[in-house]
Amino acid sequence: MKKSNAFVLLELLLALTISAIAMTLFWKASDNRIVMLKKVEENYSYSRLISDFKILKKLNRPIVINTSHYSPLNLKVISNKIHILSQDSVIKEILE
Amino acid sequence: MIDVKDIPAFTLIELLVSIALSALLIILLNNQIMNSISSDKIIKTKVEYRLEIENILSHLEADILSASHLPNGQKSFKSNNLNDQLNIAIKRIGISSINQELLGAEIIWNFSTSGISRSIRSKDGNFARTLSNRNIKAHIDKIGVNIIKIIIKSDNFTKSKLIEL
Repeated sequence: MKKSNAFVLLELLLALTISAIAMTLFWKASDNRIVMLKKVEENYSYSRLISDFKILKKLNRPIVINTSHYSPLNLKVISNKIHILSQDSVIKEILE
Repeated sequence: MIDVKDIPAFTLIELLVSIALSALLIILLNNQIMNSISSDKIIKTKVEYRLEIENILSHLEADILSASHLPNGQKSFKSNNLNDQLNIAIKRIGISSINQELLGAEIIWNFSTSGISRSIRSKDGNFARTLSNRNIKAHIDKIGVNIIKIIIKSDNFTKSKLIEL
């Protein structure tokens, strides 16, 4: 039987592999976008927290803050100190 | 007459293998595709919206801080809170974009269940801009003589900011 110039299995596998890589990269890019936006939000929350903290300190008021308002920052207020426990970004500080 | 045997084409086996492999790949990739779509939805509905509110809080703070002072030393700031609807009016001096003259302007922020808008009224004209069209609830708590706390609530989160008048 004479072999024709048809599409061969190897070419098909190559095309499918490229498609799979492209899809994976797209998925990764989406994930990275979420991570980046969360970091930006953390930075916003952090500067809001610092600004609020300075105002409360200037007024000599006890540090009463609702930690959920500064999400995604993970905060704890212990004896008039704010502890920023952990987050993905580099900001990590304890205010006194 | 054309000899059919000479025409290059897929063989039946190749075609069947191609279809089978494509079907297998689609099944395997389906999960990834669905994850990508749902991730994109999360970004749009949650993360980007949260950032939008952060931006609005910063913008509002900048407006309040730039408000002109009244003769009694207080900032020209008025707020009106009614059933989760919040209106803020700020007066300030600016420069006209038309003739570069000194100009008074009133900036009005409106927070309601239909969204957030900011409008400017001045001699140059009235300009309104919708900053968000999502359902939110907002109110102001007075913390001290010159300190206010603006609280914005949505279905998924609450954000607040202290502002010194």
